[in-house]
Amino acid sequence: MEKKIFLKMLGQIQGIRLDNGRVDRFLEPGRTYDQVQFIKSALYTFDVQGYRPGDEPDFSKGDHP
Amino acid sequence: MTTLSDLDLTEMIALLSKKEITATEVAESCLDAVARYEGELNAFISLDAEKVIEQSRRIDAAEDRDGGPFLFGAPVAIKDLIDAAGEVTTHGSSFFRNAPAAESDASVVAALRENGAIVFGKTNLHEFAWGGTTENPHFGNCKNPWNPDYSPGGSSGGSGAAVASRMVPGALGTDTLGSVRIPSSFCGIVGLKPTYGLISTWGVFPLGYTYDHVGPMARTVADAKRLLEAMLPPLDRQKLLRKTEGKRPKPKGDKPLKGLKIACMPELVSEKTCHKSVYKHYLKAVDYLREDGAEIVEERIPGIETALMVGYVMTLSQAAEIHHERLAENPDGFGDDVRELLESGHLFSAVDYIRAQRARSKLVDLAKRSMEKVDAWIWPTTPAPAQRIGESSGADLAMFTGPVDVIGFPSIALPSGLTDDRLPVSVQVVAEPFAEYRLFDLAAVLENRLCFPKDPPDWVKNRNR
Repeated sequence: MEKKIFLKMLGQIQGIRLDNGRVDRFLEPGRTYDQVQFIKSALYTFDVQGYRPGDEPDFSKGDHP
Repeated sequence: MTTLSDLDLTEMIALLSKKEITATEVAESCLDAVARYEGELNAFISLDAEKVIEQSRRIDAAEDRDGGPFLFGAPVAIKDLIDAAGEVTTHGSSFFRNAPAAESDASVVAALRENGAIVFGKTNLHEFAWGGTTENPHFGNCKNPWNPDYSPGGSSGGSGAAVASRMVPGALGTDTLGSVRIPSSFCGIVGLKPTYGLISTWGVFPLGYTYDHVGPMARTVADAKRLLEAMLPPLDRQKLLRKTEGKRPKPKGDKPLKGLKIACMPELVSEKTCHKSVYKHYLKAVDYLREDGAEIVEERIPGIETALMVGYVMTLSQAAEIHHERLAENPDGFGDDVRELLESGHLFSAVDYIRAQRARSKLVDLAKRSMEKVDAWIWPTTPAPAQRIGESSGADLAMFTGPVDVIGFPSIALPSGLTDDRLPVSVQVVAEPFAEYRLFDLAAVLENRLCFPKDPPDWVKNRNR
């Protein structure tokens, strides 16, 4: 699917207004879309095997004063 | 001409406690400084001189207090993301410009008042704390006291500019990806991001619920320490002191850091990742630590560079959720940059968020293991000095600060030198959770060696000529 249509649909699903101007801006090279892809790519190349989701750093087990 | 507002917090408290000066005299002097500099720097969103004087007179009339972290009427500015009773908290946003005044103090403001602080106005910030420049479309850009063409950093830029320009000796900031330490770096002052959870965020508007920290900003390490102590409940202070007993530098003698092992991370910090002045002064700081007896080792935390990306996923997502209704109903109410960040937060899925949480768990684990081998890490605070207002230096300002928020460890930023253009650069020292006192001692040793100019910033000095 064309990125532009996908972004508009995603905006609609998420309940925010992304008009053509906003979407064009998102898709400018190096801007929002590229940045989000860059972040996701870094995230998914980091091996997290053996780790559960941690909402906050848990310093309670003996570390907290 | 030296005035009372030029005094560091520690010097000021010493004179106040001996009644050689009064809180009212100090407040008047700080208000005079505001009259001289605020028109250009725009560090405050609100400051009610009458309320400041009224608080000062009350402190002057009160009975003596001895010991503890009592501030004896020293003024402290509060980032306008933090509630102070009777004041509107605008969050630097058009949405809250005309909101009702806060009914009560944030916990940290209540603690400061309890310990004798004068609440000295609410400082400018990047809109909703979501950005690193304090270029604010609703309340005007805040400017850097070293050179007003440059940004003071952010998001706590008003606090940084107010402290550096001598309008006030100390301030509160908040730090989610670096918002205490980035302006401290750009303005040439000291900023502490405490251990995650040490200081209550009750009464502080969230940027990222699971990342937000409140921290002190001041002109010296001793001042930042004094402020942190005044922000803490007494029991926490004692426990914090006990935590680092036996593992703190001995500030006297030839080799005050003997027995401490400090890690640098060449894979993360290099001439490729830093502006040349930042790197030069960072290397100088490492040399000083070595000369003062610390063993310097090279350390590698696999994937530490991913920590910033984890911070972005979680902060972008959390901020997008916090502002979801406002964004859906009135997107034009946000500044362009913040609107775009909030919209981009909607492009991450729940799957991404959970993956980021797992990555965070692993990074905290790896960081703890690294810190079992050493007593502290040293990194630059920001990869580049302040950038011109309206321009980007191209550097990711949160590159070295964001990862420390993700793992939640405490970190202190202190000025390490000046660039050829006379803009401050800074280093940060990071330690294990709740080792704030070790950080203060270590940073004090480094502060003595780095000899950052004690004079006011250039623009402030020239203004007084």
